[in-house]
Amino acid sequence: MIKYIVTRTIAMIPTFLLLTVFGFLLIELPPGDYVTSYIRAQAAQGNTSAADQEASMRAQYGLDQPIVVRYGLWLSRFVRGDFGDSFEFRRPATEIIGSRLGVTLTISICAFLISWGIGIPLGIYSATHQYSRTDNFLTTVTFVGLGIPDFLLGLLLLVTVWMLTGEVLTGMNSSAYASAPWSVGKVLDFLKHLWIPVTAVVITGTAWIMRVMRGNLLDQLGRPYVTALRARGLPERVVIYKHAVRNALHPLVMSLGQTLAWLISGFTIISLVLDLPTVQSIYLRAMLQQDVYLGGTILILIGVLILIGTLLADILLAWLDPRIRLY
Amino acid sequence: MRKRISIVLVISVVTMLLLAACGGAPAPAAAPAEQAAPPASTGGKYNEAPMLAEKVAAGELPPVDERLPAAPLVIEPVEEVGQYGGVWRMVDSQNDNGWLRQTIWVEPMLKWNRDMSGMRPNLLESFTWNDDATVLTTKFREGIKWSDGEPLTVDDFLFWWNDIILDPAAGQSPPTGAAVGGQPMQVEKVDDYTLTFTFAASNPLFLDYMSRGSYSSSVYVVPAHYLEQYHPKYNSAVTDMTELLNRYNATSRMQYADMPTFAAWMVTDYVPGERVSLERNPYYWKVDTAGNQLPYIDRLEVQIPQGNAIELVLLKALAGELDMQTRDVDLKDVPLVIENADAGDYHVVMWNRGDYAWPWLIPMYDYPDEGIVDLMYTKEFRRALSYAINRDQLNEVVHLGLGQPRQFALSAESPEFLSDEGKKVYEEWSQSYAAYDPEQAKALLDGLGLKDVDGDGFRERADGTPLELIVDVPSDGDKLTIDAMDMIQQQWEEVGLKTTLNMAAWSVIDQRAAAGEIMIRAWGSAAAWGLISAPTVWTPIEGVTYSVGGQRIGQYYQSLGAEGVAPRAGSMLEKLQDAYTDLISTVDPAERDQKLLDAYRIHIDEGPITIGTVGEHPSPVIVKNNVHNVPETGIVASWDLGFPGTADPEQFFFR
Repeated sequence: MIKYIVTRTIAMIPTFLLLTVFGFLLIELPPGDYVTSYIRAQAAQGNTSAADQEASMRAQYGLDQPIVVRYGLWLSRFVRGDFGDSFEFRRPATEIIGSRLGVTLTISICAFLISWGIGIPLGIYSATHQYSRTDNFLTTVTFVGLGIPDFLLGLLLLVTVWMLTGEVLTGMNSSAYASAPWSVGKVLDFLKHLWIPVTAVVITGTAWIMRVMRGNLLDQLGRPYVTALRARGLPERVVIYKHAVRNALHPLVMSLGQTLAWLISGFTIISLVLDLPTVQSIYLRAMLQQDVYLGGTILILIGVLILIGTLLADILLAWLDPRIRLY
Repeated sequence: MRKRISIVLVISVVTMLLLAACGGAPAPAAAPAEQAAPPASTGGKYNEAPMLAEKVAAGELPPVDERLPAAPLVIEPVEEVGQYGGVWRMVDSQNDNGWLRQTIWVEPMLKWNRDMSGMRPNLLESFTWNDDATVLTTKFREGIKWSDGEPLTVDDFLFWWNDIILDPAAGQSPPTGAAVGGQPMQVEKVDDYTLTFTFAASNPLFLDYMSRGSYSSSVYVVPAHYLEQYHPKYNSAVTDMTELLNRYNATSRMQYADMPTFAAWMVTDYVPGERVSLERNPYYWKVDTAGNQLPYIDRLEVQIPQGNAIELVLLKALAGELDMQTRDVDLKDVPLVIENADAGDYHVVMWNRGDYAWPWLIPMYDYPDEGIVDLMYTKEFRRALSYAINRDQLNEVVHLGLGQPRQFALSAESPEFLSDEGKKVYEEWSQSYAAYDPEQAKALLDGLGLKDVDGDGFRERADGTPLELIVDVPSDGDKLTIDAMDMIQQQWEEVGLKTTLNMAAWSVIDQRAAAGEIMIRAWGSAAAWGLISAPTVWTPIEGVTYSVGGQRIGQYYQSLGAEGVAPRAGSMLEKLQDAYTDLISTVDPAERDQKLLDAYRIHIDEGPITIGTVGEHPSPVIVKNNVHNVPETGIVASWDLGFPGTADPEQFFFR
């Protein structure tokens, strides 16, 4: 088991390096750079003298160096824990990401716990009561949940609340509290905004987990070993919970690997539509602006989380299923 | 089994309750609206806001009479003398707080009048020119203080000129107007409030250039006492200019809340990409007619949208959560916005975009295909392109009938058009070749020998080779331009001109423009103003992507022939460049206006040189019903005019 973990960890290093190369290339791929888009934005406002600053700005941001040199500098600083400053917001990329991590994780962890907490039990119930009235009802509901994109649900909730109460619950705080220090009032205001994105993400997420759980469990329940267990007279709950559910969990455990990265990269569109100050929205903005270090840092963060998540999922799976450890 | 399952259900129910707990929090009582308050009497000459009076009483601030200049600038309110207090909520969709800057940082040497009839003193108290406009003496307003209480003197301007612009380490070059014929101006300090500018040749437009929008002298006057600590010359611990330039560049300056300002509000909190909070500057140097120190409004809360600003502004406006919003109200949403005005307790003021076209079609005269360039230089060909466009239809379908079908011509409000002759020139120019006349278009094309010889329904060139118009259209952002171009493509094909739309990102199109690879470019909403605001849209004098005739033709003029592509000898482009050279050194304003009109006549006689479609859109401004002193007129599309800053937001107030 230890050997398994060590080999898997070492294998992550080349993957990580490749990730940085492709990440950096991807950001550099569009024509122009941050200075080009800056000057264009200035010119569109009529400020043509910004064009004179082109060379000095490139030097200021280090964009006058060849791409290989820039990649090398970036990586060497990266390893030392310096992720660079955002071009647009003249402060460290980590500070900007950090300031948005709280909101992002609050939404995503809330949504994750609730959707898994509801999805798995309902999936089990649905599978053990296949084609019952409840199962049919739940199946219908989940198909609707799967069919409607979360951002549309979010918008529907937003507009419904506006029509009922006259309040627009975009963002995470109303403007009265936006710059106020944290207080009971601000927390309540935060919760008042939080439920819209969480509900929207939960409805789609739950539907997916329920479908997967139901399908897998049904698959397991049809296996000969289940029949054998039942034939030996084991109680039904032991058959289902100790044996069938445990095996049915494999695909969900595998998908946990992706979930770690999803916590800061999921629901991007809903962030934009509901105006949530999340990591996702600043990530998109950094990419559009070619704000290399900010975008790059988030990209690497997502990549690393996928790597770690996959590792954890593999370990968990090996623990869950001894057969895996043989490989 | 049954018992087990019911436990599962219980777990589900509990989890759902958790979900409800996450969302079902009771609504907190609405934050108390800040009450508008009467000015606190200070016992001195001037009155001040209650929040500042408290600080004075606590000994944190000197009395208002000491904070104001001996003769503060008096601002005539739009409607009436206002009351202090309130928080102004707005949305700024610009990445670099551009619209916030246009709101609070329009504090140039001279400021446009609110009706754009001319300019009024602002930072400058007075100025005098010598006869041939080579020497300018300016008197700065005495006694203005930075928001930290330090005096603002001409040294703050000289720091910009000597230690930023002229210091090679900063990599800056003199802005438009500050150098004549490649020679930087000479600036001399007479006393703490007087500067003398000397130019290598006549430079009568200097003050106009220095007073554009929020990015000219408004940001050139910098707090030297603060910036010195970041300049290698004054602080040996500093090795490069990066920190200085971060604070100097207008687009990132707001991120440094500790940097003193002389604007009406100062930043107290800047959250990247999320919001900016501002508070009144206790040292602001303007008063109203009753001697109350401005601004009236205590604080600004500016939200930066994460996604599409137009949707967010619309929702927030409908819910009455915006106090005054100049930008990002889409024309197509106007009916909806007006319908909900009572519920949201606001009204809509229609300002003017002042745009000459949306979209604007720029034929490029530097395209690598000589045959195409020949056609571009042929006025009959351009006229055919213009006649083939059904502008009324465009207006009805794409612009909801709110624009004006017209030819490319500058804004009617531009000063040179205000005389009788000016009005005539404007009328003639803006309507020239703008009628929909496909028959005449066909006749003109036939006359040029452009006929369909192979029977595919499209015309070939006179030599029989295929003719295809390629229009570069920006694919990001501006949906209206794309819709309009789809119609124009169809209309051009109806007269037998094969048209292809090349949809690409702005950055790609810009690169193509710089390389001279574009045949015709479609630009979104565009505005310009005589000689002051983007003159290169009517005369190719700058190497920028929106230069009439092509970036490289403007570059040729700007680099004095060293780079770029020359306009054809004797062509209208060359005539326009020559006219411009003459214009900018003409000292007498009346004579200059006359020459300007003559230059515009080239556009009428040989036009259209660049093609307009539908312009002069109204620009909806959302104003809460308790916000007062907002003027009825404004022109927002050209940033050089400085709206909404030109409307004097410091005298807006809540009641």
